[in-house]
Amino acid sequence: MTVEAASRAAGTADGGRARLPVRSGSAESSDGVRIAWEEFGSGDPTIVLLPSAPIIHSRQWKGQIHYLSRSWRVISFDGRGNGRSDHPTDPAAYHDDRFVEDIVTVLDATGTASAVLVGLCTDGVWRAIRLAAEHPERVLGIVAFAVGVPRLATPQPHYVAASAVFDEELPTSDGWAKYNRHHWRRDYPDFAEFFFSQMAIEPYSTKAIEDASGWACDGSVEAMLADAAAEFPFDRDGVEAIAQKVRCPMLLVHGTDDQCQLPARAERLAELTGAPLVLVEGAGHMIPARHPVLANLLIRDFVRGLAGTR
Amino acid sequence: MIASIAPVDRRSAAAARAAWPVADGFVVRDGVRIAWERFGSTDPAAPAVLLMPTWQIVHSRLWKLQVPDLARHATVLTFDPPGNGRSDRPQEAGPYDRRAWVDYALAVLDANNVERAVVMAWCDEGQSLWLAAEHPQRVAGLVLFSAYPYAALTLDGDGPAAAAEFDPTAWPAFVEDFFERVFSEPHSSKPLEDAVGWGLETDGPTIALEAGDAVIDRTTAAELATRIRCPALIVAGADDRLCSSADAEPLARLLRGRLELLAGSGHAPLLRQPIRSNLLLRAFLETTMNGSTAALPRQTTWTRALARKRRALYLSSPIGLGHAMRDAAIAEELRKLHPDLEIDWLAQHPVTAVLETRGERIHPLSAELASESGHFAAEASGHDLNAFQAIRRMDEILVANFMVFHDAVTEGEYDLVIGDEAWDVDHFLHENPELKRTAFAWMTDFVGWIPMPDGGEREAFLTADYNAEMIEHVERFPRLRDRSIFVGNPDDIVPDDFGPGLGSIRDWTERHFAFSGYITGFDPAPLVARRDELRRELGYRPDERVVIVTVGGSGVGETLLRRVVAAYPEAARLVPGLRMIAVAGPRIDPAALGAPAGVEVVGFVPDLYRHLVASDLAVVQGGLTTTMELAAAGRPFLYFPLANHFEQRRHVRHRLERYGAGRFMEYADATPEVIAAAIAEEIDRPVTSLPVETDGAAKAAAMIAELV
Repeated sequence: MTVEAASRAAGTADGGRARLPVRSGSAESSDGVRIAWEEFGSGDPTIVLLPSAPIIHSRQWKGQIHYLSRSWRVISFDGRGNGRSDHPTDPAAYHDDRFVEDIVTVLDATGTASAVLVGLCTDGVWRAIRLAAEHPERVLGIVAFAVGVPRLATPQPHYVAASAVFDEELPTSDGWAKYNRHHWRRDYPDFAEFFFSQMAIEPYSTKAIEDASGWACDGSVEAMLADAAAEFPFDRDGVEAIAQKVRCPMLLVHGTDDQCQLPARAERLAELTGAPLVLVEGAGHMIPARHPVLANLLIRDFVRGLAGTR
Repeated sequence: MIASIAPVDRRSAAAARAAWPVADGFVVRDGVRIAWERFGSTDPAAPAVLLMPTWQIVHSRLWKLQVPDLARHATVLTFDPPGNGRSDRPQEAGPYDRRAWVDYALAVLDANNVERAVVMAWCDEGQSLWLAAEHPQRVAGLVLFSAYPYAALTLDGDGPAAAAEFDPTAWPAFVEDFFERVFSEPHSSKPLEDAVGWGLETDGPTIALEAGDAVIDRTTAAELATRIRCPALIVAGADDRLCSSADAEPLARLLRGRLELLAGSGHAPLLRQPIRSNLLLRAFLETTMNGSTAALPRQTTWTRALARKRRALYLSSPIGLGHAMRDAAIAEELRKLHPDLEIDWLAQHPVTAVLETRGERIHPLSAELASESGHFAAEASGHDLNAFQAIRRMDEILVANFMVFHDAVTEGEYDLVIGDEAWDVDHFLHENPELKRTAFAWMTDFVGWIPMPDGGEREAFLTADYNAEMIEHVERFPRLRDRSIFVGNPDDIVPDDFGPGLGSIRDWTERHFAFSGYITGFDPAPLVARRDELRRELGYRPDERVVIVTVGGSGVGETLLRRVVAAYPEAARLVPGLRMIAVAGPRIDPAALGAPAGVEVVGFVPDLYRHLVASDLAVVQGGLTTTMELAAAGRPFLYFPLANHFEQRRHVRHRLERYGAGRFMEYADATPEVIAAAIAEEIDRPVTSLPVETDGAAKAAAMIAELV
């Protein structure tokens, strides 16, 4: 199956939106990349759902948008490299700074002075932390699912092994060997399906896996390779210093069976910031997709609790 | 009336304490000794709570049901008022002035090195308002239960001022009479005995010492309230016979505080509704200490359990109209068994259309539901609807609608949820079992997802996976479905397996469900009995052979309608006197059907069912409701299940074949000639199908009624 065909198939699999945006648009970031956003509902504070880009796009929050937008204004956007946003192929376009800037670009374009940020994994959580540290006036609070803050603790061993030979032609494409430049070019949908079967590791996750691998195929291999080539600009001390600057309330939620991020990263961030950590026993990486009711109620309680602290 | 009051033994009363003081002592002001106790945490960082005394007819034991719980979360201070408990009984008026009690409170705080406390009071007579208004640095928050100072006394002559006029020797009778008014709820003997016992620890002459102006007046109370800036919570019993709850709302407004109204509660919720009171105090303490009180609603109501009406929330699947009809019939039967049962419907189009004509009450949150029928219409293409995949692709809508349901049951004090194929509720309750708050009755007319051949191995795998999850859900959490009702009989269950290694659907369903028989939603017998008359009323001549073609109210059936009307010329040749009426419904343009001459195409037909009873033959889709209506009416019919629709093609067809009703038609193979021949064959065939039961709604209602 070609990427295009898979994408069409995914579009079908992913029908039945529970709520359509009240407004949508796209905003141009400083390097000229267009970022597509959507706005739902109304009510203070605004909640911005951050994308895990470029691997998937804003539909990752499909289980949250209807519920949250019944009480609050909700903004979601496709990260660079996937969905309706531009898909640049230059590694420079995927520098950490660009992703942080994109949040500001969307906040500005939607007239949002400050917001609660909700993110998943590095692309969501770490960029939210950076923004809260660098522009505290824009961030009212952070709900961090699958707390992927790089460097804070060791990465999952399968990433270490696969990354070491990422650029090499491998004799196998079994398991994590699919996390490989050449395999991506040969059969990206195969990688996507494997990858998300690991991310939604719980039994009975077929729908979550199909959805996410479909969204992956909405992106492009070249964008993924460019993103993989972008160097992470901080060492452990740098990451910790930034995390310790965060002053806004934060809630950390992490699955004990997360195959992407070890719980040790969440535990370390909780130690550094004093943020409460909810460990979800038996849950994998994609808590908002696989445990949507729990995720929704955690976000709700967090946002309600903020009202008194402002 | 209580027959007699035992003399109070302080030691035996003390023996029943659930929490013991960690320290106790006395403070002395103007020679008056005030007894205090401290409970709970000795950690100076723990929040502190000061539980204030009220009128000296009682003493600090009035907090007996709060102290143990609060002490788990805070440092808790209590003290006895002058005139009762272990405090002195000064024989002059001065110490009974509530402004003096402010000094006692401050002295107790100082004696325990407490800088600042959350102040909680019952029937405050000024002492707490003065404390909070004049010493804001010492008061972190203020809770007033049954607030006296701002309330109009509704019990003339029985208030504290009037006590002075009492014959001091008649004190026991006064105490008993007073507390019978305090505890207006039935079944209050224990708190009543307690309170009377506390009242008898003092005496009439001591109580009579209090001056008329010892307690605050209304004007001063209002003035103090406007000055108080700390978070405040007012709790009022709606049946308070001493202090009208009507005054609680203005007091809450003056204090800019929250109000909780306790419906069905009297003057003493602390003693009579202790759990609700404790949860309120706990939540107030927590939100006050973390500064998040602003997020709370300004007013809430909680109803005492035995003052609640029986309430059910009914969810009826909007996929097809059949659920609405049968659920409305079940609701009617339920009301026969529980005439006081209030039913709210969390429902959407087209269910709401049926319910509104019957005057049923639609829950306002229904407006927030995402459309399931719209999703199904969008999933259909021609005469094809993969129902399993459509439900599967409805995952986002199901999450959205479960959250709406969750809000409705969280706010609604329901006893029972009835879910007729409410997939969202059943699935996500099993995924989040801690969210169950009511009894839950689950109903369905089929069990088991079944793969369609076009779906190949993948669909076979997926349906088995969904079945396996459902089986594991139900077997792991048998407490979630309090009733599982199969709308039908064991023989209606398909003979299929759930999937490889998952066993027989029928065996499992028989083990896990009760069977109501089919539920038609109405009894067709009276109409059938007067069928000839009905034909005359509807304008069908005796010599006409009337065929009615109907595809339901959605736009899904247009391709079937076109195909059937195209069969008319050939059918008319085969059947003399044939009259064909095609019902386009509200969503299909009659002009677009290209009907040949002779076919009558009509839009909406009111009481379509009467026409079906009067007809000679019906041609319909394969949905359960319409086909079973025809079976119940004893009419011959052709039915065309949608392609890839597992429910119509397996479950419904199996049931119809068991009843011996109708003739299955394969749309893909049905040329106009085939359809015409089938019409000609069926229209005169004697109907030999089994009778359809008419007591299903009553049976289902009887099973559900046991839960409320």
